[in-house]
Amino acid sequence: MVLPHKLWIVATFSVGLLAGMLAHVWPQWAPSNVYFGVPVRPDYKASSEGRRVLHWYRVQAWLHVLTGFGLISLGVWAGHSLYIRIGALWFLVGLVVAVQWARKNVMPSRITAETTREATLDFRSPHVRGEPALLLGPFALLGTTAMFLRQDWAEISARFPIRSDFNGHATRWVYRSPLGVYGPLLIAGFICAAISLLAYGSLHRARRVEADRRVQGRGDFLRRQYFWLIGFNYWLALTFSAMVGMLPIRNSHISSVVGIFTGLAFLALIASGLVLKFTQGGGGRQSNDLLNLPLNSSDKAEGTLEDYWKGGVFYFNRNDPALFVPGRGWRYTMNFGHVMAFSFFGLIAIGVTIAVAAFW
Amino acid sequence: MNEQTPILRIDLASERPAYEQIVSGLRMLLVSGRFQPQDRLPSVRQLAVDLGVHHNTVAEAYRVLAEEGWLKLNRGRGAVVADRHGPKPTPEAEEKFRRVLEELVAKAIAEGVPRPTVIRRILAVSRKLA
Repeated sequence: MVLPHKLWIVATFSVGLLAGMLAHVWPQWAPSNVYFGVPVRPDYKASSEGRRVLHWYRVQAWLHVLTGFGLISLGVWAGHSLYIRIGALWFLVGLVVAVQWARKNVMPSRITAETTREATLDFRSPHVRGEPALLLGPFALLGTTAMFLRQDWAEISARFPIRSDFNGHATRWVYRSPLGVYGPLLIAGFICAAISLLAYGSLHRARRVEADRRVQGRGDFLRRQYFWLIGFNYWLALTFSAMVGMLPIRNSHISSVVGIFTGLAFLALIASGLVLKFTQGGGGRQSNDLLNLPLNSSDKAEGTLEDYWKGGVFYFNRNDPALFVPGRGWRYTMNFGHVMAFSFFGLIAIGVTIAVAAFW
Repeated sequence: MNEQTPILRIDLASERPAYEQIVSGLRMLLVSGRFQPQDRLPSVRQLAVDLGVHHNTVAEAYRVLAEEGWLKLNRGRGAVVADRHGPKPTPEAEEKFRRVLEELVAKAIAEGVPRPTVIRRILAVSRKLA
């Protein structure tokens, strides 16, 4: 389906606006004693110094967001991919620079992070009924599609398009070959495997947060995250299966309808994910505010030695068995030193490598 | 959701090994009656994840408590609180307790804690754990 040029530009600006708003509010989501990933006194954020840092961070962030997305829009309008790449790079690097500037200015007010950890001693089975079926379902879907394609191999065009420009004209073609036909399913398989790891980790390898327990009773945010990830996996498998499964059918109308439905499903997934994150995942302060709880050790700057926090926001600890730990910007963050984190990124890398090597 | 669910705390920066802190913390909760016989404790893996320590550390702590008669360890079922009848105190155990208490009281007084406060605290802890 081809969108008019102007709509692409509007869409780009909208995404830029959303990105700018996220960058604008992000520092306020952390618990009150964490500021740009730096453990501080709870009253620091409201102090004149804290407000000054926030103000100039926001100025920089918006400058970089607007410049980056301005370049991307220019690239979209002119049809020059170079502007798009430069714009995307500017946006990402600019935000990193803004955050690092803020951290540098907050560092002199840093306090020593708490090193206590606490655990609730209630027994809770983390298992979900039908968990193996939920985790393996997407792979069964991809496998079924592969078998269907094998059966109708002769019906597939000898050559078919895999990429189009903004005007809907095909720019990249692939021949009917095992890699060309099964490649997308393989890519989806690797990404689904990576997402399945995260889903499994949400239930079985996530540190339970005390404030979550009191607000939601059973750490429900993690279970909801689990089901959201499973839903994403099924959407991914369905989309790729539909995309490739249409090859023998060769009906552009059906393809368009399928494309619309998968696009709508994707938007619904993103919207539900944002709702989940913003209402339940956005920082320990929310749960505390709801209960008027005093700060306890689970909401203190994650009871860990500061050495494990790289750049203040990335947790890297090979000795910690938790894949998801209380974060400093969000409720939970990944432990990038965990073997499952390595596996996750490894699987994504394999999928992307196949995609680039076979279809770029 | 149970507001009374016991919490176990350890200090990662402490000189005391993590498993000793887990054993002491759990023992205190068991002695004070926060758990009833047949109550299930979190699995070794879940407690290790919650505390951020190696699962062998938690397994060792559970093993020590099982040897003391506090827990029953079942493969696949995890740790269950045992119906423990307190052992008869031996002269050695009482002597060890007297020595440790003397050292602790002497340290407290040396650090400026008033004697009446020391006595009051010892009585309060005894009542709490009894």
